[in-house]
This record gives sequence, structure tokens and C-alpha cells, in this order.
Amino acid sequence: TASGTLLPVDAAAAHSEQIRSITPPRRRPLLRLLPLPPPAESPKMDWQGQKLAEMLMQLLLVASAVAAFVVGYAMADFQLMLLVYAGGVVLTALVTVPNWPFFNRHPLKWLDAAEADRHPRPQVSATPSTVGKKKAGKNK
Amino acid sequence: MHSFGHRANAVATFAVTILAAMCFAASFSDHFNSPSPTASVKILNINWFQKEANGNDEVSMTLNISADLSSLFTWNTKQVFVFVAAEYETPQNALNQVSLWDGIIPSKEHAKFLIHTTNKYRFIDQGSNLKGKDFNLTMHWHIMPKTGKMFADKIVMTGYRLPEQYR
Repeated sequence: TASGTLLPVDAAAAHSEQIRSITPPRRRPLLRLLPLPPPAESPKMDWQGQKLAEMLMQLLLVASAVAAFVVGYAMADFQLMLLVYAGGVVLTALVTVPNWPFFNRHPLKWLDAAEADRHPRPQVSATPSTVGKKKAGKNK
Repeated sequence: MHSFGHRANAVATFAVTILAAMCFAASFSDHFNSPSPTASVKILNINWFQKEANGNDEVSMTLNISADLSSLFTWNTKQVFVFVAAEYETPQNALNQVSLWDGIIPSKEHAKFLIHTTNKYRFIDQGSNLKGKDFNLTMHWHIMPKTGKMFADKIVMTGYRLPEQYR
């Protein structure tokens, strides 16, 4: 009887030890509490600004070409046409290539994290398909 | 269009494309020019007229070439190449064309000229057909553009005749 009483005590001790080793530590990692710094990257033109820059670029270049052709034809000077067009191209590049403030008037606003709580992800419920099989088995 | 490099590339590419379109338009505008050139060539003297050792006839002559080709020049014209050719018919060839003189007119200011000269290139026939031969003197020109299409035309002057005998 003595050996009988000793065996369950040892088993219980071993089981409790296993439980302790499996359980992860409760302490929180320090990194989770610190906010991540924003990445140091060049400021990007917003979507509306990009569309505006492209439209402005095409408009200015076509207008420069038309003006250059008209001036060159009127003055009968081919070189003057090229000079006027070159000036127009430089002006267009100065206006549309850098990221000026007027290209950033419509920044994209991301939703708050609270919106995710107000509209939770829908839960997928599993349909009981095994019940049908069991019923068929019972009927047979 | 999302970065400096992309926007610079877009400007450069579109600018070059439109430059090509502008050059095409400049060349096309030459079609609206209606030139009215005038030319006159006189043969002042037949210096000598001989049969060569190989049997071909050769002529040397003094020419007086005057022309006003100012109306050929447009804003797209780089230069005008002009040459004077003798043209005649022989039993062997329906058209014989021998260039006697040529020149390059670099600008509109030089397009009105009078030149007194012997023929720059030898007037040699393929055979012995030049005695008493009637021939035309034709002034051809090629309008060389700065960009695009080259135009060519000519003025034919008739009524020239070589002597019946060698000199």
C-alpha cells in the first residue's frame, strides 16, 4: 500500500512540472510599448498632385510648341523656333518636376483604428454537414 | 509621376516627341511656298570643239549664267544646290544629260547672281554626235532643308546649237 500511495504523488509532481515549462512568461516585451519612428523618406506627391502635374506638363509643352512654331514661322527663323521651344521646356520642367506645395493639397487621410472596432470582421460559421451522414447511417 | 526622376523622365520624353512633331510641321509648311524662280543662260563663245583620241566629241564654251532663285528660300531652307546641264538626244541614248556647272547658294541674299565662266565640267559625248546638234540647257535645283523633305525642280531653256565643224 505504501508503494501504491507513492506512485500517484510522483505522477502529479511530474505533470505540474510539465505545465510550468509549457506556460510562456507573463512579462510583456518592452518593444511593444514603444512607438515606431516614421521612416526617413523623401516627401511624395499625393495622387491629385500627380494628376495635376501630368496635365500641367502636357499643357505647358504643347503650348510651348505652338508658340514656338508661330513665332518661328512669323519671323521666318528656324533657330528662333528652337530657342523659344527650349525655353518652354525649361519652364515646364521647373514648374512640374519638383514637388511644390500646390501638388500636396489633397493628402490621403487613413481611417482611425477605432473604425475597425465599429465595423468588426464578420465571423464565418461552420455548417453541420456530418449530421446528414449520421442520419443516413442510422436509417440503413 | 510619383517621384522626381519619373517626372523628369516624363517631361524629357514628351518634349522630344513634340519636337519631332514641330519639325514635321516646319517641313510641311514648305508645301505652302510657291516659288517663282527665273534663269537665263547664254553661250557667249565656243572656245574649242574637238574629237578626242578615243573618238568622243568634247566642247569647251563660255557661259553667262544669270538667275534669281530668292523665292526658293523659306525659313526651313538650309541651302540650294543648283546646276546647269546640257540635255540632248542621240541614236544611242534618248536622254543625254551632261552637267556643265554647279554651285551652292548658302542664303537668300546670294540667290540673285550673274556668273561669267567657262563650263566647270567637261562637255563630252558618248560618241561623235555633237556636230550641228541641237540641245537644251537646263537649270536644276535641289532645295536642301534644315529638317524634312527636299524639293527639286528645273527650268528648261531651248534653242542652243553646236557648230557643224570642229574648231
